[in-house]
Amino acid sequence: MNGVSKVSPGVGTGLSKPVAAALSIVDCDFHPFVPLQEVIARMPARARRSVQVSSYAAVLGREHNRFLIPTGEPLRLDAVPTRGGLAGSDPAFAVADYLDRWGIAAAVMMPIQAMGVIAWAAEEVVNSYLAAMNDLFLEMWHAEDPRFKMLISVSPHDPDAAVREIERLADKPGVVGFQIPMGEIGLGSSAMFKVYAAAAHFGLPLVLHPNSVDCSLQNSPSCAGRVTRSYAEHHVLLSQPGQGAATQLVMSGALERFPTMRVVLAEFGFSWVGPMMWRMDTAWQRGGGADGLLPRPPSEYLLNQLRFTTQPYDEPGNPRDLVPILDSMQAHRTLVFSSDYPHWDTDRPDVVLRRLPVELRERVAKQTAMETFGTRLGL
Amino acid sequence: MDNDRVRAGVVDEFVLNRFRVVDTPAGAIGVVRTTDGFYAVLNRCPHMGAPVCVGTDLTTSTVASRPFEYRLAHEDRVVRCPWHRWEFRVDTGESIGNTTKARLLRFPVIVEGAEVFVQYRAARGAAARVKETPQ
Ligand code: FES
Repeated sequence: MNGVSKVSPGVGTGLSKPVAAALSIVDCDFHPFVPLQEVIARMPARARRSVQVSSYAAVLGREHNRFLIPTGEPLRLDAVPTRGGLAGSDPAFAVADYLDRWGIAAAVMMPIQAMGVIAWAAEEVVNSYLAAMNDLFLEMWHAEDPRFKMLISVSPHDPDAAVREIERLADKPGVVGFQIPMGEIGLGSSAMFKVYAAAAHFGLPLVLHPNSVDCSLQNSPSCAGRVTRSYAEHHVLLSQPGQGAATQLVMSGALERFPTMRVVLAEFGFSWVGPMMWRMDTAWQRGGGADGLLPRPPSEYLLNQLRFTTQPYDEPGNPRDLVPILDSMQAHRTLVFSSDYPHWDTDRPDVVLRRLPVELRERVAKQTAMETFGTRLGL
Repeated sequence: MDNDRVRAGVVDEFVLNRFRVVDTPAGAIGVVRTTDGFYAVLNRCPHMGAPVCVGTDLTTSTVASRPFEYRLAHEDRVVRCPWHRWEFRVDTGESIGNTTKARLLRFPVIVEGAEVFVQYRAARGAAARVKETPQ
């Protein structure tokens, strides 16, 4: 990685003072790393034998059908820690480079390193890998700064193990929710209900996020048009797994069954939400199969229980074109801020918040996230 | 005119094609030495305001060609943003590949003997502006 002389990368390089500092911000999609060798060292010997750290030591479980990233590097080039290593691997650097710079009151940590387990068949290896990783995120990141908030990663293959992991960690300080790497799981399947029941018991929202091989790997959510050939296709189609998850959660009756459950769909886009909600209501009115499960229109469940993140923010030539779209999804209730730091397609907090109509800014920056995650955010 | 310029270092301190970022009253400015002289641009990307001179050296780009053909161009004159990787010419500030009409803000560089100065009041090009939703 090429550096710059004179100043350390990222910090103090003339980024303007946080215009948005007046708004304190909850970031619902922040991506830190932990050292994978350390995760593996904590696993039982038998499980450890079946895990290999690939040459790209950040993420396991990728295959060659994965798109090539044309930028060569999926991370922000200016966010490399002063002492080296991957962007997002040094908590103290992230505090200075991100939390303090932008007035981030809470950053919800979405561990991309957990996503590889969708391709793993050995359930006990998955369980011990995720448990070790969860512990390490708490010790390394939340302990460094309590503004780093924890999502418990649970197995997508083994609902009983997922429940056990939620029970083990739910009451730890810093835990604000849980996440399931999305593979070929039906989020509306009754197999998931015991996981949702445990989360509801502890008041833990579920956060869903692309697994980084969506549309390009077996076991991953698939996209219409089949396997994507390029990063550009992948990035455009990221909305599809989110649309599938939202539709399943609403139309299956899962949200009706667990009325206190909140689900945040992070990084799937948001400009599709309003029209999709209209389609759900139309199908429901016509008795399209959901009427027996849902006593109320699907839009009610969606608006009450699903939340969508801002990044990657849609950028029409005229920012005003987004206003009716934001209205259609009732963005004052459903949209929450996210940066995706330190990924290359990050959104700058003050820029995104200024692009929103003024009456939405405070809701999106913080209020709706506080209502979603509740007192666990500690704000 | 000494008040209008900031010292950016001595010539030998500049690694070819690598920015040094200096603070000036006009904001942080990246100064870089190339094989045809020095250039300086505001360290702010016209897209979302990323520190455009940080994390990557001047580089080379590809120009539009047929699928699976790659033609290199703009050798060592490309500023590539560390965030969304929009690309600009360091000498003209122009976007490569027509990504945007906005340009990098450029500044004159003066070399006096071994000393390198940037004239921060003499900006050229379109200022980086962030689109805002009108109320
Ligand atoms: S901020 Fe530079 S390309 Fe987006």
